[in-house]
Amino acid sequence: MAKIELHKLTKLFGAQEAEAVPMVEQGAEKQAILAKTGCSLALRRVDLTVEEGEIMVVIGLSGSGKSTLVRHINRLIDPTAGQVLVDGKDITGLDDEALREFRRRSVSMVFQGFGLMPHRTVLENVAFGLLAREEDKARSFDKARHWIETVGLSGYEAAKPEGLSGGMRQRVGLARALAVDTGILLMDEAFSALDPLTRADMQDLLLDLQARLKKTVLFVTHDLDEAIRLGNRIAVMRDGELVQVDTPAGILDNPEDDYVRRFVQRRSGKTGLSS
Amino acid sequence: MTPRLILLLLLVFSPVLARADECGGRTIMFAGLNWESGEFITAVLRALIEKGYGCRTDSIPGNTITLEQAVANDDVQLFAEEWVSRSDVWKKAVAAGQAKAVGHPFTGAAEGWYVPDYLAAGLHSVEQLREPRYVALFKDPEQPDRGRFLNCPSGWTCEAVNSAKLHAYGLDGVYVDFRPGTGPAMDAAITAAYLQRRPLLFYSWSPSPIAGRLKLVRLDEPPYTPECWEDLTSAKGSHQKGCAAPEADVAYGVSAPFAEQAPELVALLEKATFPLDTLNQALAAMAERKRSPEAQAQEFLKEHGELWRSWVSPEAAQRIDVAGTTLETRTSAFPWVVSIRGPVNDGLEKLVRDHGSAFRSIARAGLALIGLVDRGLAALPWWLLVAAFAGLAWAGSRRPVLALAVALLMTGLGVLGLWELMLQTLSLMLLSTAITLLIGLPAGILCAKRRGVKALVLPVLDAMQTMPSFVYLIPALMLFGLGKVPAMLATIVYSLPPMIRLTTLGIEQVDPEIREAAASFGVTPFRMLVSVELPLARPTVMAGVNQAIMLALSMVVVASMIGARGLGEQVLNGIQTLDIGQGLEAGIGIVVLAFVLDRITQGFGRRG
Repeated sequence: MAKIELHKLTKLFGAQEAEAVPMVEQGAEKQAILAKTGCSLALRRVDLTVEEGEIMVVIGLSGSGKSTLVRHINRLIDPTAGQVLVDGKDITGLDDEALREFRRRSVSMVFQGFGLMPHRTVLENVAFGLLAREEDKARSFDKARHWIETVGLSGYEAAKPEGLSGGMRQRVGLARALAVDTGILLMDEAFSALDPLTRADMQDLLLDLQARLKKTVLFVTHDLDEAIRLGNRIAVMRDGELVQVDTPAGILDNPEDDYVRRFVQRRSGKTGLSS
Repeated sequence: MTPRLILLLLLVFSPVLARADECGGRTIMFAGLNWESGEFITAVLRALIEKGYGCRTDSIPGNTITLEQAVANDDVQLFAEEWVSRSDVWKKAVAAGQAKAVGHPFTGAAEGWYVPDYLAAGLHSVEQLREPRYVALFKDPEQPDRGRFLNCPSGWTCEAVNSAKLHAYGLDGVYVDFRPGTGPAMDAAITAAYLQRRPLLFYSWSPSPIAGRLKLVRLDEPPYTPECWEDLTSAKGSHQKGCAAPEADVAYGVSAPFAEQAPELVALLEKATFPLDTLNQALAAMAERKRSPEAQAQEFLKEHGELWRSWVSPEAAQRIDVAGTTLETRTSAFPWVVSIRGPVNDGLEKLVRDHGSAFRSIARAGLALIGLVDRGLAALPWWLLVAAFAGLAWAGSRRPVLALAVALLMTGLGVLGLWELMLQTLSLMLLSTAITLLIGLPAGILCAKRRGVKALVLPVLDAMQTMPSFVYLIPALMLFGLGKVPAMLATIVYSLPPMIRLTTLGIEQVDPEIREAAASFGVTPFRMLVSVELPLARPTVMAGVNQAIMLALSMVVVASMIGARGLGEQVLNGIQTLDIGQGLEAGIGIVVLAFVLDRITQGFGRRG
């Protein structure tokens, strides 16, 4: 069943968001909207469904709106128009208290720059989400230790993030997101800042964990190799719109237009799905 | 050339010739006296000499002793109100033939210990001051078991004499010898007390605007004898017996070369004696209407023509044209000029008179707090405090060398004999910094969170940092009373802006991704602040604390100008009495305190 559904999700940045909505609906050009209302269009009437237990990769160039899209699912960004359904319930209307509860229980996130607290130890960082929802301290630390071990960081519990390599830091970020045991995992360019070998290790780790945990993962990247390797399905974005949503094979074999084709051609010389 | 033409030429150039004779082409430098009668007499004389004798004049500011020394060196030619018998520097200069006393700006001057007329019912003599009821009446808010005697600012000649008298009258254990720091602070304290009809025992003199404006009663003292006065005015005297001041001999002080070169001006000075009543009225009018001494001098020239015409030569009298000079109509290029002077002055006077008691109860609470910290610090043995500071330095920096340096410097302060003064400064410092933190941290957080608040607060901070502190210190002093409370207020006003600014900056600079990460786990706003934003902003916030302490220390001397004790008072004292050694000693004390507090707070900022 559908875990996440986006309905006609539109996002504009600017002071007069509401006035620009009709223009979006009439299909006005991005530049025209900016000139008329001073708002920049980030997402235009996006419809997307993510099934329970699948890894959906969102791919696109910088500025195509993929990071904005993923931030709507835990409402780090509020939509201008449209709906975000999680487990069939619209979360756009949640009040502050309900939103906090939703973020604590239902969705967790891994960030490109890790987003770790530099003044806290690895253990404290991993337990952050558990402590944020006021779980018992000792039990939180026990759970945190378990996840630190799972991501292969045993022995670093007392270290501070600044002493760790990039790959190790993102393992902390991943453990922190997994520790709260939410159904949805959002990963915003989570491995983009890592060197290629480390990145491959982290991809292996994620696939390995996913085989056991069966999370619903929304994974943002600009790298088609990564998308093909991780995704059950891939959503290609351009200028705030979805161009094509398909399986990796579908994307490779039947690119919707030139934009998608160019992504695919960039990987020429590499073998298809076997890697 | 016909004789007639020569005569014409002589007439035309006669002012020029007079200038050459009287001034030798050079500018006559006046001592820029900083008390009202001195300022007024100086302004009148400058107007007469410039207009009547065609000389250029100028004045140079400074304190009494410095200016007297300048007369001896002929850097200053004319000292308009020299209290001849009161100053060792002056006596020495006269004995050495470098300076000369000429004429009398006024006679019948009085000085002594005064109380307001509304207290004078039973009190008429200094003898009575020892009685417990009078000690209680003049209670010192900072040391309630004693009375307070408001002395002159340190550096004034009268200050040492009054201290000697306190001892001679057996009052020095019973009354606090309170020095206001500056003349304006002294006047403000007396005026505020009078407006509120509060008891006050103070030194004063006539002619002065205070004497012209307020009804005061001078307390009887044993009659003047030369031996007694000699003993009181000497630093090495026994100070066993007190007596009234001699009738003051006030003269125009001139440098010896000037007396020789300008006989016509000396003749003017010999005649120029202001009747005391006329002088007091002029001073009162000047203070009440807030006129400049120059404006008041113009007014005087208009009103008292026959008086000054009897002083100057007939030729000079002709040249002085008072009709053409208009008073207080400043020409402005701007068509609409609005002044807030009047309303502000009236408003302040009303506030002091009608709501003074409310402010004084705030001041009492403040004083109680300061007293608590003062006594707490004083009760600690010196080595414990040294150890505590060294320990803090080590805890902050983990550098044994720094801890050792701190310990040695603090001990050095004690060895220089500055320990007690340092404690007084330190307690003021700690309290103002604590209050700065209590206000600055929440205010800084609010500014970081609310754009509107920040837009409102920033201009206020700019004003706090740039407004000259005496502008608000004198009113604060009139409301809260002389001493530590307005000093603390000034310190807080000055040190609060960097605390707020740097707290705001620290919070604004928190990595947005870390903030997002915390938000994505559903933290409450309070938890976001306490466990994410503040810890990450800590180095910047600590830099704010550090700056607050440094600025507070830089206010120590200003604070002492309104009567705060400690190292600052010592510096002020040193400067005002030309005791450079004393000033430097206390200055070193301030630097050491600054160094120690700076390194400790910096240590805590860097760590973690």
